[in-house]
Amino acid sequence: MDLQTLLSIFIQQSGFGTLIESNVEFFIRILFMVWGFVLLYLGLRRVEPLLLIPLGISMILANAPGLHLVQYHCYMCSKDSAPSMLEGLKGLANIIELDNVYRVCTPDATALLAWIYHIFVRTEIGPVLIFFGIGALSDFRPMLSYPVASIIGASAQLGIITVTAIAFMLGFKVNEAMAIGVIGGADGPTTIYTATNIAPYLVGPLTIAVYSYIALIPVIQPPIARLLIPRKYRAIKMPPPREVSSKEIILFWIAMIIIIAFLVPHALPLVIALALGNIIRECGITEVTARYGKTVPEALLDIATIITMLGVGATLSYDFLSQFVASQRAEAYLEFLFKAFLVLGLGLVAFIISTVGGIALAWLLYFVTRGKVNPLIGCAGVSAVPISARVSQREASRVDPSVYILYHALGPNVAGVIGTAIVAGFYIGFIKQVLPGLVP
Amino acid sequence: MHIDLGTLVVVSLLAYGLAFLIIGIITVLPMAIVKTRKRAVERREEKTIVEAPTVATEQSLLIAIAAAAAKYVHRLKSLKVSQGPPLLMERTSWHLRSRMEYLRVHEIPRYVRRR
Repeated sequence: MDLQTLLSIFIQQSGFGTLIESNVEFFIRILFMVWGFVLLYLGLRRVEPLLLIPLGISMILANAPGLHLVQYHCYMCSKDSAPSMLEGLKGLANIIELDNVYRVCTPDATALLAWIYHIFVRTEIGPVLIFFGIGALSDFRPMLSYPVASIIGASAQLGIITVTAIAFMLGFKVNEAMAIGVIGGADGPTTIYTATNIAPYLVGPLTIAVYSYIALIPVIQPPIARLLIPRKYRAIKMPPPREVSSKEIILFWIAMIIIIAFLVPHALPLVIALALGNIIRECGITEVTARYGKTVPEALLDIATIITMLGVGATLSYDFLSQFVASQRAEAYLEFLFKAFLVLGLGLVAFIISTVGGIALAWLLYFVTRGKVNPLIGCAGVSAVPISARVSQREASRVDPSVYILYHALGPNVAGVIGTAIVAGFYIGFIKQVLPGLVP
Repeated sequence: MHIDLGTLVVVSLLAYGLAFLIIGIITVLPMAIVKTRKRAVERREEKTIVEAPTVATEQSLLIAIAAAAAKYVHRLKSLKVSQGPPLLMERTSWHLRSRMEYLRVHEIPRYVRRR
C-alpha cells in the first residue's frame, strides 16, 4: 500500500471524510455542533446547568463528524408488505411514511446515543422516571389545603390551547401543533413525553424551548404580573392554610388514578409515576421514607435526567433527522431548523398566554372570595415548580415584605403539573385514535 | 381524516375543560371525605353524651365492668408467673386499658341504645 492510499484512508475515516462525501451533511453537523456548544456554554453559565450540560454534550457528540453515535440503517419497505411486522417494529425502529413506501430505520448496533434515545426516551421510561422523582420531591399539601386556588393550575393551560391553534395556522401539522402547544404548560418531562408520542422528530427543539423558558420565568413573568395586577392588590395577605393529613394525600392520589384511568388514560403513566413518588414521601413508614424517600428524589431523579437529556440531545443530529426528511437536500434541513426556531418563538408566546390565563382566574377568585385571594398566585399556575411560585412570592414581598404567599402559590403550581399532564394525555389520545398515520 | 382549525379548537377546549373538571374533583373530593368522616365521629360522640346519664345505663355499665373484671381475673390466672411481675403487670394493665377503651367506644353506647 502506497503512502497516498494510506493518506486517503486516514482522511476518509477522519471527520474530514464527511466533508468529502457530502457538503450538506458536513454543514448540518457543524451547525448542530455550534448549537450544542451554545447550550453547553449556557449550562456552564448556570442557565439550567443540570439539563443543558448533558444536552449540549450529547448534541456535540451526536454530530461529531466520523463518530456516528446516532447512526441508523434505513431500508425501504412496500406499503403492502407485512403491515403487522412493521407495527411490531415500531417500538425499536422509526417508520416514516413516504409517498408509496415506508422508510424503516433501525439504530446501528454500536450507535450508543441512538440506543439511549430508543431505550429511555422513545419508550417514555426517562420522562416517567423524572416524574417519579418529582413526585417524591414535591409537597402536594398546599394544593389540598386551599383547593379553590388549585383551579388556577387548570386555567394556566390556556397557553397550550391557544398556541396549538396558532401553530396550526402557521402551517404545522396537527400533531406538531399539539406538541408545540404543550410547551405552554412549562413542564419539561410532559413536553418530552408528548413529543415522543406524537412528533418524535421535534423532541429536541421542544425540549430546548421548554427548559430555556423555565429558566427564564423570573425574567418573563414579573413584567406581566406588574402589568396585570396593580400594586395594592399585590400586597393582599391570604388566610392561613388548612392542615392536610397524609391520609388525605393518599386518598387524593387514589381518586386521581381512578379518574385519570377512566377519562384520560394516556396521561396515566405520568400521573402514576407522580403518585408513586409522592406516596413514598407521604406513607409515613420509616423504612420506605428513609430508603426510597432518599434514593428516588436524589439519585434516581439525577440519573433519569442525565440519560433523558443525552437521549434528547441525540435527536438534534444529522443522523437522526436524515431519517425524517424526504430528500437529502440542504433545503429540507434548513426547513427543519426554521421550524425549530419557530418552535422557540411559539414557546415564548405559550408561556406568556399561560401566565395571563393563570392571573385571569386568580382575579376571578379574588372577586368570588371577596378579596381573600392575592391575584399574584395566578403566575404560579404555570407548572414550573417551584420557580413560578417563587416569582409570585418575590413580587408580593417587593410591595410588602410581611406578605407570605409562597405556600398558597405552591398549590396552583403543583396543580399545573397535573393540568399539563391531563391536556397532554388528551392530545396524545386524540392523535393516536384519530390520526395514527401522522406519528412516525 | 382531515382536521380543520375549528375541530382543533374544539378538541383543545375539550382538553382544557377536562383539566378544570379533574383538578376540581380531585382537590375537593379528599377534603369532602375527610370532613364527612370527622362530622360522623362528632355526631356519634354527641349522641353518646346526650343519652348516657340514666339509672339503667349505670347498671348496665356496672354489669359490663364486672364481666370485664371477671375476664381479667381469668386472664391473670392464665399468665405464667415465670414471665415475671413487670411483664405481668404491663400486660394486665395494657389489657385492662384496651378493654376499658373498647367498653367506652362500643359496649356502653350499645347498652345505652338497648335500654
